[in-house]
Amino acid sequence: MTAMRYWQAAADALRQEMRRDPTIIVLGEDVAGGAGREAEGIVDAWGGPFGITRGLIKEFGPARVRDTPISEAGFTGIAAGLAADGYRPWVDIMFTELLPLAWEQLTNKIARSHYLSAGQLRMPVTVKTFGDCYSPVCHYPGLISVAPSDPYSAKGLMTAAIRSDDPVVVFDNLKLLRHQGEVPDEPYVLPLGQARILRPGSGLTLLGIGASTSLCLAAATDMDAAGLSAEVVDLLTLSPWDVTGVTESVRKTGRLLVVDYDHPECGLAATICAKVAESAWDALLAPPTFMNPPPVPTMGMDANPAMAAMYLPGVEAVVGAAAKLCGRPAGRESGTTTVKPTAASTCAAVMPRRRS
Amino acid sequence: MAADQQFMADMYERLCRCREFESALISYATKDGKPVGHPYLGQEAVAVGVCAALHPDDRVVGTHRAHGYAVAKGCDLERLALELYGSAEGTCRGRAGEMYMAQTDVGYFGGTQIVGGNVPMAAGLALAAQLGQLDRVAVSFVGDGAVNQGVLSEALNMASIWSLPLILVIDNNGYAQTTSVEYATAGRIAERWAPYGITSLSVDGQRVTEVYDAAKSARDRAVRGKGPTVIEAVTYRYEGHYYGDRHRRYRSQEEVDTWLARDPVELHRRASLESGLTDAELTRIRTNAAAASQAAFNRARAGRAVAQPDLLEGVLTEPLLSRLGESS
Repeated sequence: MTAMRYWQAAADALRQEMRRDPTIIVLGEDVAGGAGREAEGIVDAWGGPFGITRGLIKEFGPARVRDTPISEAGFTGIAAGLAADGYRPWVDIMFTELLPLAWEQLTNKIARSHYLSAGQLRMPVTVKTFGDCYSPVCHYPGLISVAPSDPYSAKGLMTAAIRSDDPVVVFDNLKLLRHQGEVPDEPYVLPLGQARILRPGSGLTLLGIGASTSLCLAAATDMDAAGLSAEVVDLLTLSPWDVTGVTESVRKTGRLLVVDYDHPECGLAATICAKVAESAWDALLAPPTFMNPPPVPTMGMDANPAMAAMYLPGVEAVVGAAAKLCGRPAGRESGTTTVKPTAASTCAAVMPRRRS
Repeated sequence: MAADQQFMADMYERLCRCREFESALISYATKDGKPVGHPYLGQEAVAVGVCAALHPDDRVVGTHRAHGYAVAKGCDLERLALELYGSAEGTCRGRAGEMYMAQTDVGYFGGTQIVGGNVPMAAGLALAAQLGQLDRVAVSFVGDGAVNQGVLSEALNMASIWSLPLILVIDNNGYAQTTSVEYATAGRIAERWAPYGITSLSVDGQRVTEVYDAAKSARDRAVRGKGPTVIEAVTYRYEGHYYGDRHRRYRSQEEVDTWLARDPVELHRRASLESGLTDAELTRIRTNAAAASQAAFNRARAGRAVAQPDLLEGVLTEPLLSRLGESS
């Protein structure tokens, strides 16, 4: 075990897998940096956004660590061709704002090829990006999506993504980059398609997605002081998500609050609530509820920190929504946190009536 | 038979396979109420000339107008016909249909419904060949409409800076759907690639041997590490954009007649006669090709239909979905 930051854990996974498997090819803008200036002694000048791919070109060379022009659709499609011929491309799409440029290649080629070719083509592509806008990717069958929430899951899910014979989109998050945690030195895999319980509880399930998991953990600690026992579940794989695991937790606690940093409409959180309303119907004590930022087209990269603070749900909002679901007054009689309504409103996805 | 006659006969046989497969599809599918899609009639010399110059292991991707490319690259006629008829016995178990059907064991990696959308994939297949230091190239066929798609420029730029063994073949049939190439395309297609440092040329797409020669030199250059080549093959689409596009009000009868007089199969038949092949030999080749395609579609009529379990199978290679829905 070594204490490392989130970005180091992700980088560790990629480096270890590249040592293990010579078919892994890293593609992206400035993944090494300074390409074409080797004659001047310039190599590895940047290392990708936040240095996750720094050092790889020195160990694996420019054939396997390939700086691309700014052509997201082009190099994502090149990854499809590499995958079709037995390679495992690892593609860096810096931020989710850039994913739409690659959308045609990601959906029509990468997501569809295995199914449409009846297994003749395989697409073991890992696409790594930063951001919260994951619901459009989850919408598309044939793609697996994951969102790690700490250094341990960053390494385990990145390893799983690279080893998967299916395309996996890894949603990393700037909010988590500097989080520190204990990470095993040897390679390991967190199973795709399985959520994990980070904190057992009895009165409410708080479901975190990627970076919002830390928020759920903080809210659960706060709620303890008020006598509310929250179970924190970390979704990890966003698509196909773990219906069984989430349902088991909700059947135990009777209540579900999904905390989701993505846009609310037609989103992953709404899908989860709708499914759980069905799968845990007879055990529900309150409507499955989701909490998102308001539907405003803000810039995910936080151009204005003051706006970002207003935009994202905070601990207070999560505690307030949880208290309401548990039948407590929103103003809470005890504890230190004052809950006030925020722009991050809660919405009940479905309103199951109690059976008489 | 002399070597050049053998070559001419082989080209004629390949042209006839494409022509007769398309003709059989139109005749059977219209009778059986099946979709015809986007016929390749009139353009056969492009796909045939290029694919004949390739090695069996070379990779080819096509377009939405895919029948000709699939046949020319050597896909199994029966399995193609079964695929087009939606049978579970088709090349892709009836899932892909015309635009995505693929048969990778003969190097045909499928088409796409997106104009220009397959060029990056072909560049990736070319990169795989380069990384493996293989004597192999990748070919992307596109139509003239694709030259105005941004992703084509992205892929060609990377193919040039990395000297990828890629051949881009532009089937310039004069129309992108109903829009003429003169209207939609600035400058001359074959001249667009010099600023990218890419060798390009324009050939008579009705002369199969001219296309073959261009493709053969492009392949030689590619495997010698000299990078990509763009070949514009000037040709003509006999049918509409799709088979139901019967009106074709966007072009004159005079224009159509001019092109029909330069039919690629007929032009090559005449050239073959001049090379010393007999009319009887050529007629036998054509009759055999027609019989093979008719047999393929008769087989397709008896193919096993897709069943409900087939629908859900193979979305992912591993059934991650096994944990989904157990509790529902």
